[in-house]
Amino acid sequence: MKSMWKALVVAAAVSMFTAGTALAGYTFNVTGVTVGMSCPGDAYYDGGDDSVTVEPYFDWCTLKVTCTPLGTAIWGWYADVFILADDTIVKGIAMKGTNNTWFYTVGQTYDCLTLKGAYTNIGDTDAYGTDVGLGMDTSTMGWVANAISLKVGVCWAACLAQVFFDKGAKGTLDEVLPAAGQKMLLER
Amino acid sequence: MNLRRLYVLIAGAVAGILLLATAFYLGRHAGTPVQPAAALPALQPAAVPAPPAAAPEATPATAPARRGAGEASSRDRREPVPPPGPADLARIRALLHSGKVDPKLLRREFWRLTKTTDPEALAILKEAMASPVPQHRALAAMALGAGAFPEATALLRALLQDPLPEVVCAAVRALGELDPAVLRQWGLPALDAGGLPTAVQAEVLMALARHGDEVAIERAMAAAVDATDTGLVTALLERMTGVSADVAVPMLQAVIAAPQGTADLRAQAFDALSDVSSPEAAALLLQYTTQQASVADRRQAAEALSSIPEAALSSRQVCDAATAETDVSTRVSLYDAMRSLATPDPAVLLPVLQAEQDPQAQAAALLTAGTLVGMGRADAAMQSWFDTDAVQSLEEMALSSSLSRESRLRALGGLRNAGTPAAQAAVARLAQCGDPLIQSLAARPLPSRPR
Repeated sequence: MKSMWKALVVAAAVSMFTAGTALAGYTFNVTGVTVGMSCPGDAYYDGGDDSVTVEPYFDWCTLKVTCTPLGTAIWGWYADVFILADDTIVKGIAMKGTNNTWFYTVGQTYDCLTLKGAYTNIGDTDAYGTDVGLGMDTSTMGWVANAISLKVGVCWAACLAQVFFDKGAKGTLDEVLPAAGQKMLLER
Repeated sequence: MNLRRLYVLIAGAVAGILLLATAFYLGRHAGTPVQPAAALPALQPAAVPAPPAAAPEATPATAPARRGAGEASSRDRREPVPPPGPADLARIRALLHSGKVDPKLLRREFWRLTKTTDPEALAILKEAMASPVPQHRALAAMALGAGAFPEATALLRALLQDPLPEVVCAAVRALGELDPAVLRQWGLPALDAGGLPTAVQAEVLMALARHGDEVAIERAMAAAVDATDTGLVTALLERMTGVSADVAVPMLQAVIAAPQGTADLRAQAFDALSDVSSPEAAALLLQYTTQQASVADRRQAAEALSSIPEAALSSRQVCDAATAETDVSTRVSLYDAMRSLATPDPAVLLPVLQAEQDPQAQAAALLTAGTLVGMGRADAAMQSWFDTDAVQSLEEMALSSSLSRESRLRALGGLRNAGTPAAQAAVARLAQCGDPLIQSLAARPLPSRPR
């Protein structure tokens, strides 16, 4: 009996050690919306603003948000996504909505290198409206994102322009804001 | 005596496995709110959110008010949407006839129609089908496909004759979900007859391919191999969602390998490959970073590879690719890919990370080392080297005026991610450095990491 307890203690110790180090799962299924991260972080449904909130814990993560059929069943034909990365550098955000479920996204990063969206709108979330979009703190220092590409998506109220681009580029961006169903591709 | 010992060993092993499984589950789902249904707090009707009364009137447009990292305002379960009542149906009808074309509002309200089989809802959808506004007709098609209306198939067949390709595409998708046999009966002869708009051709092929229709898969593959009809191949690539990996991977491989294919098409194919969750897709991307591909293709493939969370590749394979690579940008992406490997092997990665000489690539290599240290995936050798050698190099890089903004932020990121006392001390020094780009980030702590 003593030996069995010894075996249990050893097994428990091994298990706890494994749980502590096996922070391997960086893919979350949040109400049918899949959030893949290349580093530790969290993704969860936030009832406060009715959004899928994505929060990386490390700098230089790549965030990929996609929608499964379950997501369409739960969210319907759109889902609001909040990128909560005020204090982190995000390497890339890829928001890939579907024909069935479009994403509407809002949030803030310290810096973001690339933004790719398909069936994705910037701004116009239910909780924050059309004046609030996706931000980048370093834009106040004049920095801009390296590349932004939106396929089938709309930038609402130039909120993306204001925060991802400097003022010089904003004028250009306003002229090419696409309507739904059109493609916007801006490379810098 | 032996039997008793055997019993003890078996009991211990079973208990160990159970504990291991529990711990693994808890580790994997840490941070995912799993609450028993009974314990859930009362919810506001989230599915039909209130108008954005709290939306700031700020002009110019800006980011949302700062929310403390790790402080969600509430973590609830999203409540299912109740079926629309008579008042809801009246409101939706009024919206339909108001002439408003707010895509989000329309999507919200039309989706609600799929939650009922009330004849009134069907009547509204029939009115939407006759609307001069194309969005109304397309949303009616979506609702017919997603709902449980007995006449749906016949109505969708009628929408296949719509003059606008966007509406026909919506009807094709809906029919593909509702009754693929009916779609096949209409779609394949229509493709043979010719004259279908490109988007509709792609929609038919991929809607049927999702159901494993061999004829459709063969046709889509033929278009990919040929790659001369750029419009059709682009339209096919845009509709890859939901197609099984054993169809998607060969098709994307065909697009990349097509002699007639353009660089833009290959870039789309690389990007689409990173969305296919299969080891074959990751292996194919790695293959294109190592074989005699053009620099542009290698960069695209490596960048796509680095965006795959938990890529199922061996550390040795990625290291070999990085060692052989002469292009700095591609090497940077390969170092990024090392961070997101499902099972990184620090013993294999360390010599490659240490050997990097180019300053830009070195910033990426050291960022990866720091991140692995912070993630608890470094071994003792990597951890020790990081603290004794890499920390100082990263601090110098973060302040170097000869490096790009990206490389300097990578260097700072490496220190922040590592979180060791030596790295934290370096970050504290950088917080006083006077360079706004580095200083302001160094002064902010990373979000808490629940472990």
